[in-house]
Amino acid sequence: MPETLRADGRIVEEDWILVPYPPSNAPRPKATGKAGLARNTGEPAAPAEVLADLAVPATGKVIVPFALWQTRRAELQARFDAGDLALWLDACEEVETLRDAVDLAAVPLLALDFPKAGDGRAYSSAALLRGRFHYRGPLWAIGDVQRDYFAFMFRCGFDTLLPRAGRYTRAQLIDAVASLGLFPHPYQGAVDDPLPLWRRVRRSPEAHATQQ
Amino acid sequence: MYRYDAYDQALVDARAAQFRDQTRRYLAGELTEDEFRPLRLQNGLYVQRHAPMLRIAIPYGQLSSAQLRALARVARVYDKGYGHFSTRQNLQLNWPRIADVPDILADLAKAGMHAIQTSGSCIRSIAADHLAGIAADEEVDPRPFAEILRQWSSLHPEFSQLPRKFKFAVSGAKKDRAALRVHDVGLAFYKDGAGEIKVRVLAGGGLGRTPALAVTLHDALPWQQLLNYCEAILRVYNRYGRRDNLYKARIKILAQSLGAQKLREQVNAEWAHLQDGPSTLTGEELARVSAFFAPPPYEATGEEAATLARLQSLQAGQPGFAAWLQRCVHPHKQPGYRAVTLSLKRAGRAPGDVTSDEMEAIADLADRYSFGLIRSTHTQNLILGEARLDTLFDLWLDAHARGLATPNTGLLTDLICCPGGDLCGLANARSVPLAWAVQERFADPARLSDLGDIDLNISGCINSCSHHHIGHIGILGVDKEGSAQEWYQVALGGNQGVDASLGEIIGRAVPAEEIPGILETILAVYLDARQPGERFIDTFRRIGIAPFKARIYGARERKDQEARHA
Repeated sequence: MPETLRADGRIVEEDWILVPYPPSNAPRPKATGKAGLARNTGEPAAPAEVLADLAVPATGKVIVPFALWQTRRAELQARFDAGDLALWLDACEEVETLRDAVDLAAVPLLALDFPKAGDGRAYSSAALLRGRFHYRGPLWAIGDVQRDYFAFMFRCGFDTLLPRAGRYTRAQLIDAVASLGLFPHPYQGAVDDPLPLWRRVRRSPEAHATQQ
Repeated sequence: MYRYDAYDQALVDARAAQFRDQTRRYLAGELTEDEFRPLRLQNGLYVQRHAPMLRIAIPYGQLSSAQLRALARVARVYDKGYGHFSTRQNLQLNWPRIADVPDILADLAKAGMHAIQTSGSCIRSIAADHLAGIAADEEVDPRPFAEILRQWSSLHPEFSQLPRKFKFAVSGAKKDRAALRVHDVGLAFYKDGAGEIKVRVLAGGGLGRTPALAVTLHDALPWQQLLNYCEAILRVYNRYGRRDNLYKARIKILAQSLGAQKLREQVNAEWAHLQDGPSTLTGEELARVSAFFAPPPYEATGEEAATLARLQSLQAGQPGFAAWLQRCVHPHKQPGYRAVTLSLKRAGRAPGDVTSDEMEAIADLADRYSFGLIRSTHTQNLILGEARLDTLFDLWLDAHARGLATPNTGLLTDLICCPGGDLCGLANARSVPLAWAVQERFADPARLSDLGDIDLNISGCINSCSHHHIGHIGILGVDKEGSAQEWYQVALGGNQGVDASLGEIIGRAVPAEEIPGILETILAVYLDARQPGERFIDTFRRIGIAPFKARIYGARERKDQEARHA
């Protein structure tokens, strides 16, 4: 059972099982040039044969790819209705498509994938799910979830973070939790607090911290 | 200028502490090279050819004398006693040790400075008109908006991992001195017929491998919507900018593939959701930030005419002063005041380089002549923006004594040049020795002055740190596999400003030693064709590239033929 980090700093053992794509489908660096970070937005998350062959554990609570849900819905609907099937979105998939395909109020859990820490699309996806589509359920960050970005993820509306298995020791996670409060007064609004600093506090021009 | 309050200070202090911890984890092997890279880049730290390079932010090019002294100290204690002013108006240290960088950032934080987002795939430090707030042709001081944008973009959680770097430039003047049209976003502030501040929002410009001029997204954005609109642009870019290929990841590529109309529609559709949201700027917030940029306590200076006449009389015995007045002194909003360029383009010195001693001397000059205020320019010079007209002779004497009064602003030897292959890990060519060769060849002041305004930009590689695409003459170091020589390609007709244009390549690349000769030929074509009052770029635009090509490559081909027949 995977361990996640919650927004309140708790480390929690989860009863959800994440169903990833097989490794062969992971984004590959291109042969030439500097590149190949990921698929572009709007490209299919996985080829049809990968979706057809993907094995889903027969029992338990599972988080399956959104593309899998779209292609094998009949087979999975009962588990979804029972609240035992959740969905994860690849970074190249648009949250609008998800919103149009699924009743967000009925999904037990959503997860957004970071194929690489440097692929920041899921931040925008999370912000839209929370801010515009009013999704109130659990929102997980999965994939290349690195501790130096935990605070950004929480700010964008994720409430649960699942780093790659084995990436961090428990001590390291606890250390990361301690650093979550480093920036208690961010300048800009985000999902956690939509008000910019200058609407949150009174910034007096008289009270300068430094005299230059 | 802007001064930190307790919130700003706490943020830069925490950032320094955060990077100290990240560096510790990296050095302890807890962070891999790949994991550490984006973290160090977003703190301005590159790993270069010989040593790391630290790029320190000088937001919108504004510095206090105290900050410049802090930079001098940092360069002396942690580096080799000098720094390099870059075309992003920032300061680069070329020889720090990685292990020292946390201490450097902590020292900078004490002086109200940082290196946040001076590199990496994020919103970079914001560039501005170097005469912002003082230019005679300015309608709106863009500095308060630049500061508001600096704060909004600093550690922005949603836009912390963009497809690629994202650069803003701002201006509020009639003349565009900030190269707005070659930025990812260029913001032109102006007043409409009713006296309301509006923003012309340009997007999709950029240089590098695929140079592009920005398109207009909004012609008259109410300033209150500035952050909402920028958020809309960034969200569209973050979601739809290409991520499969770093060379195609800038917003200019998105703008090109969608077309201006489609990009505008997407941004406007996103903005429709954000419009009038919590980030909508208020008059109160603008007033709060603007108060920091209130004019310094100018003194009554009497009639300009009388002062000018006196300066005129001093010119007679001092030809250097006359040339300096003409080239390095610029008009000012405030009667009786001028802006003064301190040239960092000295013979035998890398363009933009300044020693710690010189930084301290400049800080002293700023205290004496300019209310302690200094500006860095994207042409790699410094400016004392608030000099009293009647002090200019004394200022010149002092600047001259320190080697900071080279009267070449805007002339051929005021060339823009990147650090090049001596320091930079990306460069194909060494650029700086070429800059020296040009400066040596064109050292004669009379000849330089006759050639007039010419922007010469030399980049050591296609990343175009020296903006060679928008130089009147742009020179680019190119990679010729297997060649021991350095090769350069020349382009003509680039221009920054309201009528920005991208240079046209004149022909095949040539070895470095031929460049000064080619420059001679280019300038000879110009002088032959020049009509009275025409600058180089004017003549070029009138006659086109053909006469230049013919003279350069025609002569070379004849030479080749003669060599074959001989």
